[in-house]
Order: sequence, then C-alpha cells, then structure tokens
Amino acid sequence: MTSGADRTELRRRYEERLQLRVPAELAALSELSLFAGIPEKARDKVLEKVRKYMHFAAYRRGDVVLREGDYGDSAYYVVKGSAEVLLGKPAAADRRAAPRVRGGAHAASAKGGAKPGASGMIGRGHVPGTVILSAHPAAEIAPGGRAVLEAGEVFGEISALSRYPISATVRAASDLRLLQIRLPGLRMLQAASKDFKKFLDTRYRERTLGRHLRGVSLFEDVSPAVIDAVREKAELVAFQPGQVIVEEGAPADAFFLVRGGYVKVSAAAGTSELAITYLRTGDFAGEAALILDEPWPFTLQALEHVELVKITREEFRRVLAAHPPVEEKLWAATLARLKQRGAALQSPVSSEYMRMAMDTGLIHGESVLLIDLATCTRCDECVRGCADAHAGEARFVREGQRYRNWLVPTACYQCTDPVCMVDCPTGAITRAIGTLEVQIDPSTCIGCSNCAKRCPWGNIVMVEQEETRPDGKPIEVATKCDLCFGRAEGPACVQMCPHGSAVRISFKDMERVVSTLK
Amino acid sequence: MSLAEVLRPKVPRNLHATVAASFVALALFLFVSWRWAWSPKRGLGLAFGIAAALVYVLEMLYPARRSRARPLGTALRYLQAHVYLGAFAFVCVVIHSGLRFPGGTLGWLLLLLSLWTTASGLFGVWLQKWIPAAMAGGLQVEALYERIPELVEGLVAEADSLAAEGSDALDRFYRQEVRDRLGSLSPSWGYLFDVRAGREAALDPFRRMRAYVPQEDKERLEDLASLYTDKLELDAQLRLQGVLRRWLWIHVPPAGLLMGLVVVHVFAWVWY
Amino acid sequence: MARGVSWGTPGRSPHYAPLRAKWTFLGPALGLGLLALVLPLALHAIGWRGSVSPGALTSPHAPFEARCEECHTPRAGVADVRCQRCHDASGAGRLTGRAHVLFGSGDPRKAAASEPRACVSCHVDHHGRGTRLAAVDQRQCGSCHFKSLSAHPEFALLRTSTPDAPGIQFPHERHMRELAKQNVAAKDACLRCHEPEGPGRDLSPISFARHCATCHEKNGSLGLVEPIPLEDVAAPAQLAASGVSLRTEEFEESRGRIAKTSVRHRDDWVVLNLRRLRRELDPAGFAAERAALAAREAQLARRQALAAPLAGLDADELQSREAALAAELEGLEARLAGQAQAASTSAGLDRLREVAAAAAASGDADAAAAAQSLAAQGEPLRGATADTLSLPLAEAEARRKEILTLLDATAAADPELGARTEDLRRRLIALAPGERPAELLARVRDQRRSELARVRDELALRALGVRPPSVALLAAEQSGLRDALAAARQQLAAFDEASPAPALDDAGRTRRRAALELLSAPCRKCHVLESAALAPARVARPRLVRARFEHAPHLMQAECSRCHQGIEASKQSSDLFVPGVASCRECHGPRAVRADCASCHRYHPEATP
Repeated sequence: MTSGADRTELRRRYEERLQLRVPAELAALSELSLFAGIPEKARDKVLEKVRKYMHFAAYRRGDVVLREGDYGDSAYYVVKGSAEVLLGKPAAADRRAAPRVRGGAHAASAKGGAKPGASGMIGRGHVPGTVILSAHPAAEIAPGGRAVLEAGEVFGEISALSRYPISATVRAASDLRLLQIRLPGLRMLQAASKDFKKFLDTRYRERTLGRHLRGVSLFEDVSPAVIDAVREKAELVAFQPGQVIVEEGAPADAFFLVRGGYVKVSAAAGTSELAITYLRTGDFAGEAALILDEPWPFTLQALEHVELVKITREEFRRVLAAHPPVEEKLWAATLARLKQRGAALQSPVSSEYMRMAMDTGLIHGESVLLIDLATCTRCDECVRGCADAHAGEARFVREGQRYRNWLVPTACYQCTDPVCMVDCPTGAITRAIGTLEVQIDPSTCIGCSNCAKRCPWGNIVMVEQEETRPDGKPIEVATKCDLCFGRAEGPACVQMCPHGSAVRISFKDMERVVSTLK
Repeated sequence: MSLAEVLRPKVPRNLHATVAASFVALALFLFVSWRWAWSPKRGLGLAFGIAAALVYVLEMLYPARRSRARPLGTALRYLQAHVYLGAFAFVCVVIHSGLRFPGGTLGWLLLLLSLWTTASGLFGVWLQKWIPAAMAGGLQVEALYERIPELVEGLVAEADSLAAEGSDALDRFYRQEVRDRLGSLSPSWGYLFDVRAGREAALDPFRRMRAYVPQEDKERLEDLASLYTDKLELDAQLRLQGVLRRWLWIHVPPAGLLMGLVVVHVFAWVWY
Repeated sequence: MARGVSWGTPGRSPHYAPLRAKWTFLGPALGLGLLALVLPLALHAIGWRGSVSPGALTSPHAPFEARCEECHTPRAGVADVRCQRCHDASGAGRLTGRAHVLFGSGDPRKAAASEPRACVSCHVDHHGRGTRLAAVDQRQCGSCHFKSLSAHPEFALLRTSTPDAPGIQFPHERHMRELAKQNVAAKDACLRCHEPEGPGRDLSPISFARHCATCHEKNGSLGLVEPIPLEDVAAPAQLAASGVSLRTEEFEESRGRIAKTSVRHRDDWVVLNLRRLRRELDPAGFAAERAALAAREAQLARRQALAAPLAGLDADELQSREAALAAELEGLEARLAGQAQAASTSAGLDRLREVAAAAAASGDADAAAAAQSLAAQGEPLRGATADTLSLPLAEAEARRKEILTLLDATAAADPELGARTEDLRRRLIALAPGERPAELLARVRDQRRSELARVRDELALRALGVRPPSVALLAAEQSGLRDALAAARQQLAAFDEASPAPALDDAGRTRRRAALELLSAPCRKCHVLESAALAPARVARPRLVRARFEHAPHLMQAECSRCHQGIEASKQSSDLFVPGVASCRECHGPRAVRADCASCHRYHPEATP
C-alpha cells in the first residue's frame, strides 16, 4: 500500500473529487446564461432532471483542469475567472497534411502503449486514412502556443461528445469556477433544448467543423471558400442507439460524415442481413450513391449515440462541380466501397464475423483476447501468467461466450469508447495518450463499482483488499485487464500459452480477423 | 480430426530440424564406430552422453518458462524446445550406449526411464492434440474444470425453477427421472472415445415425454432437455479435462527419478 | 424463447477461480529425484557397489567385484599399475604400450616418445562373466595402424633388401628330387621337414636329428676328419683333463696327426677345436661374439635382479624399498640434469684418455696404445653435440664391439681395473643401438619412477586392507627367465672354456687355417665357413617375430605349393619363398574369410625374448 505522504495527497484529491459528486444547486444553475436558451417554463424541470450530471468545481490559479491526452467525458463552462489552453509541441516524427492531434486510438502513427516488441500480441484496431477530431477552441493555436478562455466560454464538449482524449491542456490562469456537465447531462440538454443544441452546434460549426472537413481526405485540397460554404450548409444530426439513419432502397439524398459514435452498414442478401462494415468517427458514407445517382445500396443504423454531419445532395453537387479533384477522389472512395460490398458478398465469413462482432459488442474492442479451443489444453497457464504479472491476482477468467472454436474470455476488450469511464467519480480509470489500454489506478479507485456495473460484459471485477472501511466492510478495488502495459514482453496471457492458442486481435481489422480466426 | 491433422506439427521447421539432427547423429555414430572402437566413456560416445545429460537438465528448465521470458520469449517456444530436445536427447542416449544393451542395473534403469519419460511425453503431446480438437468439435459448452460442480448446481437450480413453473406431469417427470441424474456428475470413460457418447439414449426420455406434456410445457421440456445436454457436456468436459491434467503424473515424477539417477551415473563416471 | 444448449459457459461467477498449485507435479518429481539420488549413493557408501556397477566382471576378476578400490582409484580410473600387480608381477613393463612400440620397431627412442596407452583403453571389463578380456576389438589397432588387411603393407620380411643369410646351403630342388625318387608325394614332401605343431611355434624348428639325420647320417656319422697336425688342435687326452669326455675309439693318431673317423652332428671335439681355432685366427670376432653373449647374459641377469615381486614383501620391506628407490631416483635426476649440460662426447673422450693413462701407468702398452688410438679417432668429434652425431647402426654396433673387446682385454690384463671397467661395460651393454647416454639415463630413470609408483601403489592398497597377489603368479613369469638365463650362462661358459691364446705369426696362421679347413670339412657340406667360424644356422630361428602364422588351418585348404610357389626349383638356400600379403588377400578380406589383426599379430611381447 501507499506510504504516508501519498496517503495525504490521495486524501486531498479524494476530497476534491468528492465535491464533484455533489450535484449543482438549482438556484445557482438557473442564474447561468448558458441555460438562457431553455424556455423559462421548462427550465426548472429540465435542470432538475439534469442537475445530477452537473457539478460546480473550484480551481486555484495554476491548477490543471484538463490534461492533454486525458479522457474527456464532460463539457466545462467557465463561470468565473479565466483558463488558459496550452498545446505542447508535436512529436517530430509526425508530419501530415491533415491537422493532427496526438492521442486517440485511431492515430495513424501512434504506437501501442505496450512496448513495441509486444505489438504482435495485441490486436490493434488500425484503419488507415481516418481523420482525427480536434477539441481546440476557436482560435487557431500553433503548437507550443497558448490561448485564453474567459467567462462564458465552453470547452471540452466535442471531446465528450466524440469520446476522444483531450488534445490540449487547460489550466486555471486565475482562481477559476467551472460548471462541469457530464456527457449524459449534455445529451439530455441537447435533447431538451433546441437552443442549447443550437448553441453547441454553432460553436462546433464555427470552431471545428472546418477543420474536421479539412481532415477528410475528400476535402483536403479544397479552397477555404468551399469549406466555408459547406460549413454553412451542413446539418448536424444526432441518432439514438438502434435508430435507422437511412434505409436501403430509399433515394439517396445526402452525404454523411460521422462525428462521433458507431454506425452499422448492412445490406440485404437474400433473406438475411449482410453486415458490410461499420463507420466510426471520421468515416463517411453516401458519396457513391450521390455520384451514381442510385438509391441507397445499404442500410445505415446507429449502434450507439451517433452524431453525424449531413450535407445535402445539392450542396454536394455544387462542390463537385466547382472542384474536379474532389470528384476524382470520390471515385476512388466509391470503388473502394463497392469492393468492400463485393467482398462481403463473396466471403460470408467476414460478414458473419462482422455481424457477430457488432451484435455482441466485440467490435468496440481495440484488443480482444480469444482462445482457440481446438488447441487449448485448459492448462490455465494464461491465467497463471496474468496472476504472476499482477501480484498474484488474475485479471480475467477463462469463461465466456463461445463463437465457433473460439472462446472469448472475460478480459477487458479495451473499447475504443469505454463506457466504464463515464461514471468514474475519481478519474481512476483512464487511457493515456496514444495507447490502447484502459487502466485503473488502484490507489485512486475508491471501489464505488460504477465501472463494474457499467461494463456490459462484466469484464471488471471488484477485488477485496486487506484494509477495511470504517464500517468494517473490506475496501474493494476495481481490477481489469490492462494489456500488461508495464511488461516488456507484452500481455502475459498470450506469451504464456504453451500452445499458442491465445491471440489478441481487434475486430476493427477485418482482414486480420478473417486470416487469424479461420 | 483425422490422424494426419492430429499429428501435424505446430512448427514444422522444428520437426524437420530434429529429424535432420538425429540422422546426422546416427550417421556420425555409424561412421565413427566403423573405424574406431566405440566406448561410452571416451571420445564421441562420452560427448553424446554429456550432450544427453545437459539436454535433460535443460528440459528441467521448462517450468522456468513462467518466471523468465528470456531467452526463448514465449511459452510456445519453450514447449517446442522441450518436446523436440527431449526426443533428440533420447536419440543421443541410445547412441551413447553404442546401440548395445547396458550391462548393470543402473544402466538398465537409466535406459528404461529415458524411454518411459520420452514416450510418456510424446503420449502427452498426442493427448494434447486430439482432446482439445474433440472437445471443440463435439461440444458446445466450455467450463473451468474446478467450476464444473458449481455449474451443475446452477443447472439444477435453473431446472428446479423451470419444473416448478410447469405442470404436474412435467414436475413429476423431472423429479423422478431427471433431477438425480442432472445433479450427479458422471464423467464416464466412454467420453474419451466419443465426446457425445450416450447422448441419444440420455435424451430419449425427454423425447418420449413430448407426447404426454400439455402444449404450454413443450417449450419447458425443450429447455429441460437442453439443460440436461449442458450437463452431459459438462460431464464430458470433466473427464477430458481431467485426463489433460492428470497425464502429467506419468511424465513428471519418472522424469525426476531419471534426473536423480543421471546424477548418480555422472558421479560413478567421475569417481571411477 | 427456447433456451438452447449453451455456447460457452452456462453460468458466470463474478469471482476468479482458484488455480491448481504450481508444485503439484514438481514436488513429487523432486522428491523422487532426491530419493533416486540419495539411495544409490547411500548404498554405495555402505559398500553395496552393485548400485553403480556397469556390469559383471569377467570370471577371473570376479573376486574383485566386492571392492571397486582394488582396481579403481577414485577420480583416476583404473591405473595400469593395478593390472600389472597380477599380470606383470615382476614389474618389467612388458605389457605397456611403450613395450609394444619397442617390440615392433626396436627403437627405444621411438618407444620413449610414444603415447602411453592405458590397459583399460583396449581391455574393457564389466561386460559379463563370459568375456574374454584378451579378445581386443580390432578397431583399437586401427587407431594407430592401418584399418584392415586390405591396407596391410608388404611384409617386412620381404621388404628388407638384404635378408639375413641363412647360414646353410640347402637346395630345395635337390632334396625334393630325392624325395620324389622315393615316391613321396609332393605335398607330403614338404611336411617331412616342416612339421606342424611345434611347442609354442607353428612349425617345428628344423632339427638335424629329426629331419636331416635319416639321410645324411650313416651309422651316426656324417663323415670323417682328415688327419690334422697335433699341435694345431687339442688332443682328446688334453681335453679329458679338463673334464670333456670323448670316445677314444673314434680317433686315430699317427705320425703327429690326428684324425677322427666318425663325426656326429655337433661333434664335441670338432666344435671345441673350431672355437679354439677361431679364437686364434679371429680374436676380434671371437671377443665380439663373446661380448654379445655376455651382454645378453648380463641383460637377463639384470632383468632377473630387477624383477621385484612385491607380493612377498611385508609393509616394512615395502617402505624401505620405497625409500631406496626414492633416493636412487633423486640421484638419477641429478645425473640427468648434469648430463644435459655436459657435451657427452667430450666427457667420453676425457675418460678414454684417463683409461689410456691408467693403462700406461700400469705398464700395459697395448691397452694404452689401443685407448690412445680410439681417443685420437674420436678427437674430431669433441665438442660435437649429440644432434650432429649420427652413426649408422651397423657402425655403432661395430664400435660397441670394439670398445667391449678393449674393456675385456683391460679387465683380463689387470683385475683391479676390472671393477672400474665393469661400470662402463654395463652401461655400454645397456645402451641400445642408436641411443645416447642421456637417453639411457632417462630410460633408467623412467623405469625407476614406474617402479616407485608401483611400490607406493602397493603400500596404498595394503593400507586399504587388500591382500597381495599370489607369489605363484611371479614364479610362472620367472621360470622362463630363469631358463633363458641358464642357457645364456651355459653358452658363455662354453666360450670361456678356451684359455687365452698366444699371438700367431703368419706361418702359424696358415697352419691354423689349414687345420680349420680340415676340421670343418664334414661340416661344410651344409654349413658355411665365414671368417674362421661356421656361420650360425638361422633356419632354426623363427622367421616371423612380430606375427604368428598358423599353417594348420591353411593346410586343410591348400597345398604348400599354392603359396610357396616355385620352391621345388629353388637351388639357393637364401631364397625365401615366403608369399607376400597379396596372397593372403586372395582369401582373406571384408567379404571373404575374416581375419582381424589379432589372428596373426600380438600386441604384447613375449615374457622371455
């Protein structure tokens, strides 16, 4: 256990965090101009519903509010004081035309958190050509630069909505009072108040959409005027989990760019549904339909909360007319899409895996542990190795669902969009920059078991510690697989299997899935 | 799984290397023993003996795969090294003796123990190839060996509640014919020959009952049948996983005995 | 909705399952391993050696099975000295690898430089009661020599360009013709004289009595001796006084001459007189031959003296022997060190001058002159190191004979000097051809060293309580030596019978020569006279020294003429007609009749040369 000095510090942080659990007072909230957009009659009701997701927080000058690379799940509204936004220098190795931000599991060149030697043992989700969202405030910040946010400004909302790591450090420039609105609250506000939504959307449109569009390969070399035009006309739409966005066969009339969440792309094949692929942040769909002037060849369905940028047919056509290079790129993307569909039709296996992965949620995982039951001798070496790597306690159980000859044990899938992180009061559960692993810091965890309850697959287990709480019950700490991030050889489960039956793959890399899991 | 599939090596390169090395060793032995007198105490005969002893010591390092990753890296490589080096070491032992039967008690014991250890190890390799394949191919259920009794209890509880919901006929049938067998583990040895042995016969009562149960209970009957099937598969798992665990008893303790005698053998060579 | 059979685990528990302990199998394995380690070693420690024995011993060695220490030295294997305890009780070193090299090459330098081979490297025991240790694997020979008969070089007998002269005139052709006249079949003709199954030999040695006498002796007589002047020979009456018995009826004396009517083979009177005449006519040769005989006698006597059976000694005697040997070894080492510095030629020459001076002082002008002349001859060699000296073997032998003669003369002239010359004589005799004195010293030192090691080993074994081997083992070895020594002494005595002869002038010489011719007339029918003596008949000696050929199995397959082709036409007795190795290969080979090295050759030299 930790030493005396650490304990005091922990206690202090713990208490600091505890104040975050205190919902904001209704009276204080009503005063804020942020909610001015909500109609008076409904305001109190809405605020009453949402207030448990909103907390006031006080920071002294120099305190760090958000750290670059930290996981963001809240929007912050500056009530009083000023905060400064700092952007560190980028790593020398990365030079790309698109604006890039460090962090994020989809960073094209970022290496895994585990050491390079172990990269073979971790299944990385790696889809090239994706765009990375930025959570920059309005002003362009050059690397190494700094901007200041005054009262009335909001920051962090994009990161929260798109579930990406914070891309710049925010620090209190003076004594600061913030209102923290956590993601569920944000969503409820968006749904409850059109004005609020519009407020957020406008900010997005002004600050970020341009950069976002720039990041899409289609619009890379387009002139600023076009970007501005598109920006003005683009719609920002949101969908609930399971909602159908477009139906196959319906006339195609828009181009969609995914801002956040997962979208399932499927087509009917005979009497069954064929899952073709999925779209996530930065992917787009509909360009083929618009070019070929066809009805929708597939169905788009939201797998979870999804935010999309929608560009109508006319706007799109105007852009194409003005910029032939865009059209070329569009053809390339179309061909790729057709190939994908053809491939899916020809190899039902990959489609089957895709569907299985989407139905069960494995698609979310950056690194899923699979055990080949046809060669596994049930010797438990994987579990023993895990226990040895974690001071005698294994982090997974060799039980779970089975697909064909593969067992999916209850080892954390390292989701791209971890729901376990949403409700953590202390921030013990984190994901560092550019890494896969979602880690739980045992010294910060207070054992509230929110994460364990939230994980749909039960991959987080509460483990009793030696110490007891004041009321006599033992203190529990949440534990889960952390990809053995501190271990030079990489994940112990894969390394310790004497028959090579344990593999770690990501279902986002369908080629690798099909070749490994055949 | 056909025999060819079962015997296919995981890393064919290792098999080829071992076979090639054995042939080279034998050729060396034949050439040297044709020209010069072969003695296990001198020259190449001694070299082969020392090589075999050293390899046996290395084989003992297999348990060390847990604590250190170097130099081989993954446990897969350690096991491959263990199996193939072990086979090669036996070839070295036979060559060391000059393809003659040993003279004294100690020599005989050493030869027999080497043979037994190598043979039992290869037997274990064979087991580890076909049993998992049989389980994966023939069974759907997958369970931890130590949890099987607990899981069966869970199945019984589920069946109990299911039967309680149903009609009296179902309940009676359940209590009289099903419950006892559902609750008691019976890992029969027949599962080693057919992973689904006896299933048809065991599920027969359920099929017969279909005619006698009211309509709304038909689904419950199906569920009971599937629960029972789960239990049968757990029995098979118990037996097969048990064999996969327990075969080491015929391999590791004799290997320990062998190592002790090897030390005595080395002592005798040094002392005399 | 129907439940269906579960895919995967039917129920989940939120807790981790307990794992099987790590030491489940390793614990018992280690336990058994320790038991396997401790039990045999414990049994071994209390004396039950069966736990580590690699096999039963051959039945003559069975009594040693109870205690391994009787043969094995801890950490050092089986030392040669243990085998030699029983198999070479006299400590002659006959069974060593060095002895083998010496036996084969005759070159002590090569023998000293050869790699030592332990007994156990070829004779491997612990292979069961029925093993014959003497049956050595053929491949052992191949490690130094060639691998098989197909690589065997031509026989040395045929390779040397000048074979020894046979010393006998024997035309095969004449004799075979005679036998053919007597209707003896060709294949039986050979066997008339070359009889198989001699004791210790393949074919009986040719003996006059058995093989020649039937035709060449009539009434026990070869012929007669023409009358010889009496002053040239010793008359029977004279000889009777010195104890030689002769039959007077065979002699005829008249007019100052004596004749013998019937001469047997090896007639006593003829042989004696021939010797006397030789001494007068060829004193150098006589002295040389006597010296050689004396050398052999001395060698055998030395061997007998050195033969030190340790079996009969008790602990005190062994310890005193050890002390004596250690002191002697020290002295030898000192001398060897001293020898290394001095140029031996200079020392030798100085000593010659000393001898000359002493001779002159004692008044023996002849001896002094001889010594001076030798010294003068050797003077050019002064300062030359041993490496630049290289006398051919024959010349070295000649020189040795000269010096031995000189020493004999000196001893005869002045008995007081005899004691001093004795040392020189011994050393000269011990000097093997081509060996330098330093090498001789080294050889002696090595012998003393191995003897010391033998004594020490015996002491160590006695301390362990091991009983000494039976004395009877030594007696068997020694009997052969004793017989050989007795024979050598007898021969020497025969030489000494003759008293010193006066010097002859030319006339006397001519007369003695004539007497010699007359006396040896009946002998010269077959024997050859060379330099005043009958040449020794070498037909009686075995041809093959380092190999052994058994005629018996071969005679069952073929006739003598198959291998000894052309013998019927041979008129010269120097014709060998020993077939070459190619003729052996006609039948023997890897795919034909097996013949390994041991079927003809032996490794160890015989106990008595």
